[in-house]
Amino acid sequence: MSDERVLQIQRISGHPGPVPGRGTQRAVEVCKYIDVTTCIGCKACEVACVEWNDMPFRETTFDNTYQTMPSTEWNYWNLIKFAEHERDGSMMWLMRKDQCMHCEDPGCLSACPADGAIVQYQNGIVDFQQENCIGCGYCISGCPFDIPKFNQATKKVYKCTLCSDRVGAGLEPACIKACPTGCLHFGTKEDMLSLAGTRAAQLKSKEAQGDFVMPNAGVYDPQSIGGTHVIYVLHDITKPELYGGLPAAPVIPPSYTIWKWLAKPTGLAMAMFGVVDARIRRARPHACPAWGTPAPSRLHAIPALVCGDLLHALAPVRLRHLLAVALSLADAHLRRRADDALPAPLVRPLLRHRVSLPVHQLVRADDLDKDRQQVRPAHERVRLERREA
Amino acid sequence: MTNGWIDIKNTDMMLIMGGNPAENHPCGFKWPIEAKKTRNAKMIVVDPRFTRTAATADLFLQIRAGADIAFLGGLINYAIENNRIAKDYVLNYTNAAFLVKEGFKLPEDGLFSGFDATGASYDKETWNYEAGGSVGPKVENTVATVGGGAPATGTPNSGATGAGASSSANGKNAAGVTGDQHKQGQEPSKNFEKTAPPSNGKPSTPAAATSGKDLMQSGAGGGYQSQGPVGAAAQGGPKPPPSLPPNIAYDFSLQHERCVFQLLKKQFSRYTPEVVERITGIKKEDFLKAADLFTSVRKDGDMKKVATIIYAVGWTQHTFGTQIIRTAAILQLLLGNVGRAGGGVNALRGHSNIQGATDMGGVYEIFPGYLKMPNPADTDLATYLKRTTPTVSKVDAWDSFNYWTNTPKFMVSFLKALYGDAAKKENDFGFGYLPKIDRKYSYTELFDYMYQGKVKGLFAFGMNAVAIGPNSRKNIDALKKADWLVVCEIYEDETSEFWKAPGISKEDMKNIGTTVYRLPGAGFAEKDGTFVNSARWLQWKYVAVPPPGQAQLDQEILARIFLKVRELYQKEGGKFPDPVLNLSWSYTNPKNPSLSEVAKEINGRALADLTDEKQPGVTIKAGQQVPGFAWLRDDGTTMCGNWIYSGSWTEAGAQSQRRGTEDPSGMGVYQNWAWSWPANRRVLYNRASCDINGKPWDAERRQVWWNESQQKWVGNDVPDFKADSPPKDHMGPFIMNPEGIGRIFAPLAAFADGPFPEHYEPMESPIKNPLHPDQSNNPVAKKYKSDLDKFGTPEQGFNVVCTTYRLTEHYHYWTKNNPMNVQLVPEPFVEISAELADEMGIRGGEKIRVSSARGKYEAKAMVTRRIKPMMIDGKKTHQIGIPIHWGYRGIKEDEGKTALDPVNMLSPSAIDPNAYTPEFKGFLVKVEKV
Ligand code: SF4
Ligand code: SF4
Repeated sequence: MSDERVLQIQRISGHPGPVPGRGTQRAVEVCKYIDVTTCIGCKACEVACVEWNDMPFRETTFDNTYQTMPSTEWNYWNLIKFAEHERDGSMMWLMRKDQCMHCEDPGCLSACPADGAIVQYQNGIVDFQQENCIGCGYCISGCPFDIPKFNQATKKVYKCTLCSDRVGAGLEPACIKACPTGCLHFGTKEDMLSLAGTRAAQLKSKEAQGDFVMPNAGVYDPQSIGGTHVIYVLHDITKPELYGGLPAAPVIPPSYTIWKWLAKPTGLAMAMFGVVDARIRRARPHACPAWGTPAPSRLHAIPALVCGDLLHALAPVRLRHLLAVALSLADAHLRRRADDALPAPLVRPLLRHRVSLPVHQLVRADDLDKDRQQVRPAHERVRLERREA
Repeated sequence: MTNGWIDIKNTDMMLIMGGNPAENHPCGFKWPIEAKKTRNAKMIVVDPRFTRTAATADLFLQIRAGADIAFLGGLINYAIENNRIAKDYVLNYTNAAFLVKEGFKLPEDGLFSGFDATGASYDKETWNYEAGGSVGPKVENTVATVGGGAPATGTPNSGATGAGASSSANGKNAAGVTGDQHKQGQEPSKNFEKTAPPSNGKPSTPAAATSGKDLMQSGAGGGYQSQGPVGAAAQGGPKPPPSLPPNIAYDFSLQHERCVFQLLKKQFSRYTPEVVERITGIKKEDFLKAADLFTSVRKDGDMKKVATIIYAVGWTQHTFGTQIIRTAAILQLLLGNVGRAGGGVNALRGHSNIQGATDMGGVYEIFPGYLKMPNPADTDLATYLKRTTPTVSKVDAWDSFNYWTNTPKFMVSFLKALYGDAAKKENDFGFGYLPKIDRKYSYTELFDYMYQGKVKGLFAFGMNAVAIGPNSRKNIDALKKADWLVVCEIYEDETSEFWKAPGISKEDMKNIGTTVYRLPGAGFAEKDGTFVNSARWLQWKYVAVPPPGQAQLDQEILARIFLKVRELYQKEGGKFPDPVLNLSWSYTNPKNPSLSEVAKEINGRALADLTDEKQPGVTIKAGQQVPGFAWLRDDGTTMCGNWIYSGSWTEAGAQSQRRGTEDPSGMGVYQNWAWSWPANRRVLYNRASCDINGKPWDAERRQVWWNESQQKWVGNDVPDFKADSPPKDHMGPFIMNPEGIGRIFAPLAAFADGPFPEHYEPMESPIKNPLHPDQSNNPVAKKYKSDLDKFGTPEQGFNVVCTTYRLTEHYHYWTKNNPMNVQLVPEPFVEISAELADEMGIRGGEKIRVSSARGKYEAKAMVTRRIKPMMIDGKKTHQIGIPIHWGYRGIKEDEGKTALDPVNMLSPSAIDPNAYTPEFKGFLVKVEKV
């Protein structure tokens, strides 16, 4: 099998010193390009994601919207965000596929204190390695896109892997495969940027669009975090917030930059001195009330975590959340919700769904998987864990 | 679809109306998107709601449900007024120039000529062409002579500027002598300024040199057209049904006041932008914007661009549904968009094989291949064939292929397929075995009869009878009265558990005497066979997984029932055992026929050696599969289950299994992918993609063309035409019509409610029809009279317009059994506008009750800005929408977590008189907070 399929590690979380094996191989940067102007909100990508990653059923409730649930979840990594807007008397119904953006400079990874829980491959994919995850939830606040989600049963955090298992085997991600309109594309970052650029130019061209020109169309590839490996073409690049709260200039909270340089080494130093207490997780916002299910213990350095917690409150990321709340409040009369209509995130793992991806596709993927020795099948592990849950 | 899914990518302009392809046909919606991306095609979406299709559109207009004819009629008016029509196309490929009989009346008061109020039906005598040859616009006396009837009244075309140059020629032609040179030198009409009417320079030879005079008597002509709605002919009577004249009178200047074009102009001149606004609720300026955009493809006489119209059941589910589609067809003919790549009138079929079901006789009044069902007046095969085989009816100088002339070949081959050796010449090939229907047997009729206690049992195979029909309460009550019910399904559904319907108490259940048999069927992935898609492609599919448990294949279930019934007839005899005993059942495994065997039977095979003088040296041996329907015979030497599928499984193998991805033209024709009926043609009527000289209108999108050196039609697609008919013969491109042309005026019994479309209000409407308040509804729409068939009025408080539809996340009534789909949209809801919610004090997520005159429906409110109140005829009118998917059986239903009413508790049993489709869209309800 070709070397190109191999995922090479570029950085890893919480690891002092040089990254083992880093830079030994050059891999192309991959990228997902989502043309929001041609997305029809059909949710085929949602289903493909759930199917491929074998997610358990998640109970949902009606919430005055076509959106499946309010945000992505630990077992729902791909969510179309529906937003209704009215501009100059005409209606817009925006549908944006929300998932991990696979940032060039990933806030989750910067924030994560656990050695090897989050890795970024050379091809740009940011992947969580759940067996190294300590469940502290820092990645959650470190992410400018509100992506990683905590599973209370396994005490770990999960998010979109950009189908690193499929990509590693030379396949496109499952959502791309399923998208019926072709608004999803996958390839090298270079190619995707050029495709997206062409499309944006087409939308902006008066000659091509006549009265229906979109002068503000553009490509979303935020440079504030070094760009992303998921890029969008938006009708109006000046107002990404309209698309279900896409930040105009996402930033990693400065606290995490400090954390990275200061707290992490301190914490590790403390850890080395044996100041380890797994129960510290109790103080975490996402700590599991069902105390007693032991999480695999890794490094839990009190000072580091406390330090992080302090900075937490100041983090601009909170402001962003406030903004998001404010925006949705502005829309409140549309999203008025009866008091009993709050979503209840219950897990019903025993029900198996019937529809699955085409069989030949699975077979093909499995065949390729067979001789994929070089890449550790992290997902196998994840799946097993989830089934246990 | 006249065209196909992939072909949409070739378009420049899309009007998507009465359909929501992004939600209901997401895979096919790839192609509209492709057209936008690669051709900068523009998309206009007109819908009562801002749908997910609208989200990708360039222009969206919110319309009141049920106002479609007014909108499309407005477009026709706009196109004519602004001279945005395809002049040569209209003149040569439609019946625009044909004269309509004296006495035909447009429905200015809501009624066409010939209305019989007692029977609520039309006498279609005057819905016919005038007989005769060429008629000049100004020669009224001659017109009268030709017509053989009363003199023409009025002054034809006083406004027409000089038909002088040619009037003498016209006069001569019109004088009942034969028109032959009429094509030359007509003075153009106002709207035909640049047209030198059909001018290939070679006047064609007059076809049948018959005088116009006594043509009215030729009763044999046009028999096909004389078939009224089933049952009408059965009543018999002294007067033979009217038929089309073999030699139609015409005026190529299009100025004669009774020519189809002038009548059309007059008919739709009433549909001004102001009237459109009053009826549809679309503001005048928005309408004009859309009209300008859509008709811009014919700006300045340009013929290169193409526009397509895409629709689905949002058009059919009205008491005038067929006429909405007619209006679209007329518009497309006027714009010259039919038969062309990227054009057409395209019905999106809502199920994976609904096209196949229709082709195979899924409607009670047709046999496979759209052969007509016999009625009791058809005492023998000859009578039947005479009634159903059309004779040519055309203008003298043109030619018409009239493909339905071959009806006897198709019918006899079909009978041979049914009865095998028992079908002999001596016994009319078993024609006597066929049922003769004396009444309508549409879905609603069946349930009405059942409700009256006249229908005693029902087989429901893969159809959730309770949920899919209108007025569910009546259907449920009808099933209570039946003796037995057989349901073959993959889940327990609302029909197989009809006694669990809300409102039936434990006590009531004890009194239900219906015996229900539930047969576990196989799902689509558990069986092979073909799906016929909207593009008319037969695509073979393979089994993915075996049926689970005791589930069995449909054909096995049917075969076993049939064999048992036959055994009973064999043992016990009966009133008329012959049709059952003589049915051919020669499958290798009679208990479980393989679908490939059945598919071969449908294609047809030779029963004796066949030769064809046009193809010397070719012999189809007895027992061989026929290569196509051209080989079918009416002497019993061929058999064929469905002539339009003939060619799908030949000696070369199963064409439906082909998977060739070559597309040399780049137009998405894919000749070697599966097989498309008829004869693997991908775009129907594709002869019309060329001008009269056989040259494509657009050289960049060449489909077929006339090859002078080969003396035949060739192309990227299979020509839908007589391959060796040279352009100079002027054979019409619409070969299935006896006239050979596209029908702007649909004569005689083609439609029950008028040769032109007219806007009628839905049976329940918030307003009186602004065009003719005294005749608000379709006068011939079918209503029922049972105590459960009630209609509501605004005065009774039913003042909100309600429409029903599907969501992309669910598939009809099945997927509520599938956790994955349930997760995507867990429960039913009602979409209401923010304004209505404010008025009623309703918040999103709160439960509301929607009630109609027939029933109620409770679900949570989805408050949205995507629906808005509209001003309808000066009255503020609210619209709401309800997705159909839920009922009282399914995951959430079983958990008791959702409302249990099927939506169709609300909808009325009011039926389109042509297609028998109920009015699921645009009925009246009231909305209350619970
Ligand atoms: S989007 Fe969030 S979770 Fe994904 S890589 Fe960026 S920071 Fe990490
Ligand atoms: S599959 Fe494609 S079109 Fe459908 S919701 Fe996902 S991104 Fe949009």
